[in-house]
Amino acid sequence: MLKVENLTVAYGDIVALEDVSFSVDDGEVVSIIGANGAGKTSLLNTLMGLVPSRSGRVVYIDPSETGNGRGHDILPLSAHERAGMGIRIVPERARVFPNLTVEQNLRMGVYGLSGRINVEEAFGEVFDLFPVLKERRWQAGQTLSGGEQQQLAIARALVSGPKMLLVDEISMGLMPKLVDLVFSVLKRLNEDKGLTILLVEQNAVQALAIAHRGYILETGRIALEGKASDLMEDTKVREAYLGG
Amino acid sequence: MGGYFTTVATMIGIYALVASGLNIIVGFAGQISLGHAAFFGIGAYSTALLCTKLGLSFWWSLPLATLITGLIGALLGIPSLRVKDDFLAITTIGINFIVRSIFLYVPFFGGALGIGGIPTPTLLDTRLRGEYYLTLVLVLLALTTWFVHRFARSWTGLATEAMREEETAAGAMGISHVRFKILAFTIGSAMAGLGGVLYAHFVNFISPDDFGFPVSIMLLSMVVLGGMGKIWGPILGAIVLGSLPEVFRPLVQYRMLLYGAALLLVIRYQPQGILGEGSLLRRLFPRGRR
Repeated sequence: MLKVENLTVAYGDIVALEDVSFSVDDGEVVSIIGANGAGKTSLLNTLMGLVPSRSGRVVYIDPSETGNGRGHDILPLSAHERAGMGIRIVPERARVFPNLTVEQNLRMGVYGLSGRINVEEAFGEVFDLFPVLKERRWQAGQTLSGGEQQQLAIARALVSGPKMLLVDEISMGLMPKLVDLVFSVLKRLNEDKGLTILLVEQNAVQALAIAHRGYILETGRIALEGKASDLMEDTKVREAYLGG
Repeated sequence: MGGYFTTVATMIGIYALVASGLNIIVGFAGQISLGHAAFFGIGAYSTALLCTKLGLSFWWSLPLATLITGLIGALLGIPSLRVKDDFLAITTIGINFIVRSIFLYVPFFGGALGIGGIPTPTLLDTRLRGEYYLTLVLVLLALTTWFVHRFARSWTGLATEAMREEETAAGAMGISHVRFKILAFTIGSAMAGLGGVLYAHFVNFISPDDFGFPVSIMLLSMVVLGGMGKIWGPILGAIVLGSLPEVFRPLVQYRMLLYGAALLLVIRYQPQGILGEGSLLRRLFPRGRR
């Protein structure tokens, strides 16, 4: 599980996140909803170790250790060390490796794990989820459409068999059909495999529909929290994020 | 084979080796370096000092000087962890000028007079001159090219390329940019060092100006012209840029003009290099996936 305590992130004088606290339990889908500039991407990038924090703690407890409560602050660790612990991110705007093939992009997803997992089997699983990637297997990443690149980014995060998946605005720039596909894949992974997922989204309807719990992020602060179903009924949330 | 031809071919072979090293840094790891001649020089000066002052034989000095250059390359690669792109370009130019100045102004390195009397290697009582030396250079070029080929197909090579493409995304996948940048600078510099050793024992006399900034530009031109990140790119670049001035030699005062024009034409019409993606050569001779 992930416990974020009083996290503050700033770029120089500009405070992106202030005193943010929340948690994600094992096997849970948690959605963080916020408008542009609320600090959603800053939050995920800080959790992944791509952006430094100013203060606070982020305690990560591996699912196998949850019982004995052992966990430690991951903020001092670098991104590649956190990746090694099983935390993976689907970054904003996919960020596929443009000149590497789809196959090579996926290989990078299992970098350092080839001895521990069956790579071909893992590839087979993501090709089942996203068949278009199998067709495009030998094409360079940059020749893929935006939607295909998003699918590749998810697949690249999934092949490693992560314990916790961070998903940054996956619906951005995707056609509605693909948004549905992506959310249904995430829901299925959570239900079938117990994958723990933390989503940040502007698309509140779909993000809350697949989530157990949700948080509303407003200009760097948590404004509201609750069960996803309660948030969907909340009048303030409905007005601000769900179109009345 | 005439002596003239062997001399030109030997120099091309040496430059191909050094440019292949630069290709690891610029092509595979995506770290711009405009100071590669510094490492070429460090290799040459290392072997010159090891042989003339310590009396080591060429065959001991060769691996030792290569190793020394690789280690210095790892050290001087550290700035690439902090600065990127054009700032890294300026930093590496600075490294080139500093290294050259050290050779020039520190008396230990022979100053402006350079170091002479670097021995020609011998093997089985035969002095390796002319075609023998060319063979030695080509064997070492073949070995390093085989090494680059293995590197390009390894997990390490792929991770290095992933880092070039998207450093943050690669980091989020467990690829430490520190490790792969320093590794690229170490391998690339060691190859430049090996080239420097071969150069020093070929010309028998070296001076600081052999390793100045213009040499770095020439090496980078070879890499860009041939195709960055392609195994054969820098070798082809070295052959083209190494032989053009010789081909145009009868034209005397126009030959550097034609050299420049050839370079410009390639940049304009084949920006990915002669062997780059989508280049004319690749379209004429398509191959399967790499």
